[in-house]
Order: sequence, then structure tokens, then C-alpha cells
Amino acid sequence: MKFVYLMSAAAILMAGSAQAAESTVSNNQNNSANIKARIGATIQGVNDSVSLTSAAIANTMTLEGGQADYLGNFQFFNGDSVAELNGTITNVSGDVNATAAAIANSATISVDYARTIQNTQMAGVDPTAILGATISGVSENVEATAAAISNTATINGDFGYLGSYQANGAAVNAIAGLNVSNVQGTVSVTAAAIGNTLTVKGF
Amino acid sequence: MFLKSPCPARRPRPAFTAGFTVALLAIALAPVVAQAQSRGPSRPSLPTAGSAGAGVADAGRQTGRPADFALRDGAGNLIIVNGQLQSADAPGGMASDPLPSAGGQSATAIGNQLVVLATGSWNTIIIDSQQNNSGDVTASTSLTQARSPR
Repeated sequence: MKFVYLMSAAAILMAGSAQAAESTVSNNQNNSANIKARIGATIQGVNDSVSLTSAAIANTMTLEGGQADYLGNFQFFNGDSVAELNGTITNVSGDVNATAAAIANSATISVDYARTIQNTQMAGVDPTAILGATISGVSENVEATAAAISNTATINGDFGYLGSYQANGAAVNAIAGLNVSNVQGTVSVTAAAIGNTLTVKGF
Repeated sequence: MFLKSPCPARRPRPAFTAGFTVALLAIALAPVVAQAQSRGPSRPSLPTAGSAGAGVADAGRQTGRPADFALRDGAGNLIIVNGQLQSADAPGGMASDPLPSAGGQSATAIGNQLVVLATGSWNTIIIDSQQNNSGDVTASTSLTQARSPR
């Protein structure tokens, strides 16, 4: 009887491992529409922190898991991705954070191990992030960010083979304009425009 | 049947005789060796099958020790991007952060970017990446700041 039980347990373990090794994910995203996010805000007299985010993302994919045999990602964007943030913010006792982000294609893969990872991303029309703000009377810090990215992929974990193809044929624009006064803390303004970026980390 | 040699027993040779003979030979041949070594200006020797195995940095000549160059980083990771070995100190091969930290004003425009962060050890990392950018990439900031009264 003990032998039978042991054999059953072994069979279950093998089935589990075989199933994990055969996992296959293939993602296919096509978007030809216009993606727009707009914020127009007037904020006064806040006894806390203020955070504003305007984000326009055409295609995004997040994949998390253990082990896989094949992970494929295909993203195609040919629309217009625009994020705008215009704000007037006064008299804030905490921090002020303002972000405008426009992304055409975004993929994040986090796995323990994948035998093969294939990433393909193509963007044809312009991601644009515009941030304009007038800020005054802030007791803490002010941070403003405008980020526009055509293709971005982040891969975390171990893999046997990684192939990536990223093509950007669009203009990428990130514009941040800030008018600040009476800020007690630090003021930082960041504009980042990226055509293609691939980040691989782990192991 | 054992036959005893009719010859009389040999007289034992003095022990120093052999060494004395070698010393004489060395003295006699010394001018010949010196002449052979100082014959005209030295010419570059032709390559031989033996010299072909010298290896990088002449390491093969010295007891077969490995060549002294590093393609792995401090943790032993080997990174190959598009068939090109990334030296441990190659700029752009490894980076700690894809974007600079923001302090004051920061505008960053990047066409193509590949970041490899290896945190383990003794891995061989092979990446086949192709990035094409044909669009204009623009980042701009403007900051008008009135100093706060302190």
C-alpha cells in the first residue's frame, strides 16, 4: 500500500512539472485608434498632498508567473496617444506630484524561468505627453513629470533565449512647463521621451 | 656453467674522474656556444606550429594558464548582445538605471535603449535585440520659479 501511495505522489509531481514546463503565452495586441487623456485642474487650499496623473496607453501587457516554455508578445500601435495635464495648484500643505504619461506599447514580463521569450513591438503614430502647471504656496516638495514612450518592454527573470524587435516610426514628444512660487521644499521637473527601450534584469 | 673471466680484476677508477671529464668538455665547448649565440643581429623567427598555440597575451607559452582578460563581470556573468560579447567594463553593456534621476530640471530624449541588469552570478546571458527608431524624439522642460521666502 505504501508503494502505491508513493507512486501516486510521484505521478502527481511529474504531471505538475510537465504542465508548468509546457506553459505557453502568446499575446497579440493591435490598436489603431486615438488614445487621449486630459486633465484640467484648479486646486486650492489642500491640507494634505496633491497628486495628478494623466496617462494615455495604447497597448499594455503584464505577465507574471513561474515557469514557461514560450512567451510571445506582439504589439502594434498606429493611433495617437496623447496625455495632457494642465493645472493650477495653490496652498498645499503636503507634496505636489503631477504626471503626464503617453505610451504606445508597454509589456512587462516577470517569470521565474522561460525557455523562450519573443517580444515584438511597433509604433507608427506619435505619443505625446504635455504637462503645464502653475503651482504656488506648497509646504513640501513639488515633482512634475512628462513621459512619452513608443515601445517599452521590461523582462524580469531567467530565460533560455530572448529575442526582441522594436520599431518606432513616430515622433515622440515630452514637454513639461512649470511655473512655481513659494515652495518650501525641492522642485524637480522631468521630461523623458523614448523611442524604444528594453530592460532585462534578473538571473 | 659459470665461467670466471680470466682477466684480472679491474682497478677501481677514482670517483672524481667522470666529473673532471664533464668539466673539461664544458670548457672546451663554451666558445662554440657563445659564438652561436652572438652570430650577427637577431632576426625575427618564422612562425612555427608550436608558436601558433601561444594564445592571447602569450599566455599559452606559460604553463597553459588562461589568458588574462575579463569578459565576465565581477559576479561572473557573461553577456552577449546580438552576438557581441560585452566586456565587463564595456560602457552601455550594463547600467544601473535607465533614466537619470530627476533633480531640478531634467529632459531626456532617447531613440533606442537596451538595459541589462544581471544580479546573479555565473550566468551566460544571450540577448537578440533589434531596435529601429525613425521618428523624432523630443523632451523639453521649462521652469519658472520664484524663490520662496526663508
